[in-house]
Amino acid sequence: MQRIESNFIVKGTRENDKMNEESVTDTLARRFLLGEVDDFERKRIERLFISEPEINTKILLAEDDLIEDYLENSLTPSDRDKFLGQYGYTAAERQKLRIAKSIKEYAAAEARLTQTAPAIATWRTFLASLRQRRMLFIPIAAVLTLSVLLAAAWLVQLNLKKADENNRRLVIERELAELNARPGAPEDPSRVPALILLPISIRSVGPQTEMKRRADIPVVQLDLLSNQKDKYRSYQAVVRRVGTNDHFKISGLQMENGPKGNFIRVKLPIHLLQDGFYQVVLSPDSEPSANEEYSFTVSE
Amino acid sequence: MRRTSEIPSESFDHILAWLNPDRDKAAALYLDLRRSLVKIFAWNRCGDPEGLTDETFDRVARQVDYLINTFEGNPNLFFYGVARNLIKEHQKKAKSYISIDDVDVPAEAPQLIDDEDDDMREECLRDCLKELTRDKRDLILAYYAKEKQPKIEDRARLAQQIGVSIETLRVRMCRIRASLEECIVRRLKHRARRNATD
Repeated sequence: MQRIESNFIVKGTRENDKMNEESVTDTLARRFLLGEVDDFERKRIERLFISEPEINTKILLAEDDLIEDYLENSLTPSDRDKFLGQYGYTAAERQKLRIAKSIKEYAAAEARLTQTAPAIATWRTFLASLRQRRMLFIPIAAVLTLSVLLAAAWLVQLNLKKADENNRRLVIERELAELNARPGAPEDPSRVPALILLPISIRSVGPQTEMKRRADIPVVQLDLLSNQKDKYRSYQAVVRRVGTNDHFKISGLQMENGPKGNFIRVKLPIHLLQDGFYQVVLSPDSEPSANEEYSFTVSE
Repeated sequence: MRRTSEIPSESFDHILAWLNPDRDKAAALYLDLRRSLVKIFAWNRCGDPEGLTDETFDRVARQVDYLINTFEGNPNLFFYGVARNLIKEHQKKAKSYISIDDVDVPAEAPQLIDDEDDDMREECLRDCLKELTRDKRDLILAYYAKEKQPKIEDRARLAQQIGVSIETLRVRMCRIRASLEECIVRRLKHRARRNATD
């Protein structure tokens, strides 16, 4: 049977190809790809390309470099023209160029994204590492959840306490407002004892005015003598137990005239008073800075 | 003109057997040979490299039974010989068109390929990247992330990271990029056909 030899078809022997293999340098590969070699050399390189894997790889790598140089605008004008003559000639080649460009652009955009979001990447890495270490992740998550729940409970408790405090103050101030709303005639001293207080600014040095609490007396009256010449439409008194946050404000008080001069009458329910030292600040409603200060003590 | 290969499955099996008795190795050789023929047709400015590659395989398939018993040497060279004949035919045809019509007819350029838009290409690229393994995807994106001098430094660092030489990395990237490119072309063609039928 007649044997068909490969060199019968493609001309040139494989031995010759082997001999010429070494001569396909990177430079020659590039010249071949730019269409700078003659027909004979072209066919020789093509034969090597299709039959010798190493030459095949070498030429493909040279082509990759050439395409990258083109896309990065690194070719000389002359090489660029030759390149486009080869790779811009057919629609299929143009498409491959566009794809290569897309791959580079996409990769560059991804790299920029990674660089501009290092914090996100760090968080992702951190979370990923936590996910990988579930043994660590579970207790940390449990502690975090518990902390959040405790904080929430504390906040709710705090708000409830504040709301209670506000409600209590509102009730007291309403009670004080009602008690002091009706000046009129003096109360019966056996039922509502009056405590006459001089302003600290004019009071002579002497013992502190003292009030004894008694279970049968529900209300005490403070007569705050005033030395002020100006008379205002209404006054307010703030009663504070020294050393605590307890304080009550009574507004809309009226100046009265008595045998000892001008005074402001302030009535206080006895249940609001505890043993201790009290301070009263009296001022006109319209001018809180023009105040006078009084004090007294409460005991059993 | 685009054409579809008409190789009967039996002949195709014979081609594979001729390339290598081991079917897996033969399949890899077939794919490499196919890519090489497409390149050779493109370098010779043939308008439809894929179609001419199909034609090459068709012509070889018609005589493969005879060739298996008679041909000596690397089968790839026989394919190259057939491809050379086709290139000659193609060039003659192009010249005759020029002389008759007096117009520049470079080749059969399927318009659909030039009509694809950037968004469509990027979508296909994304899909094809998803088909790669994570390692390959990360590698190719890192490989093509930079340009010029930073690119050279980056690739050297990348090669060091994965413990290979720069040459090995280049070869690996060349293969991944080739398969990615084929995937994108395949998807773009599929979309173009779908759009044409809609």
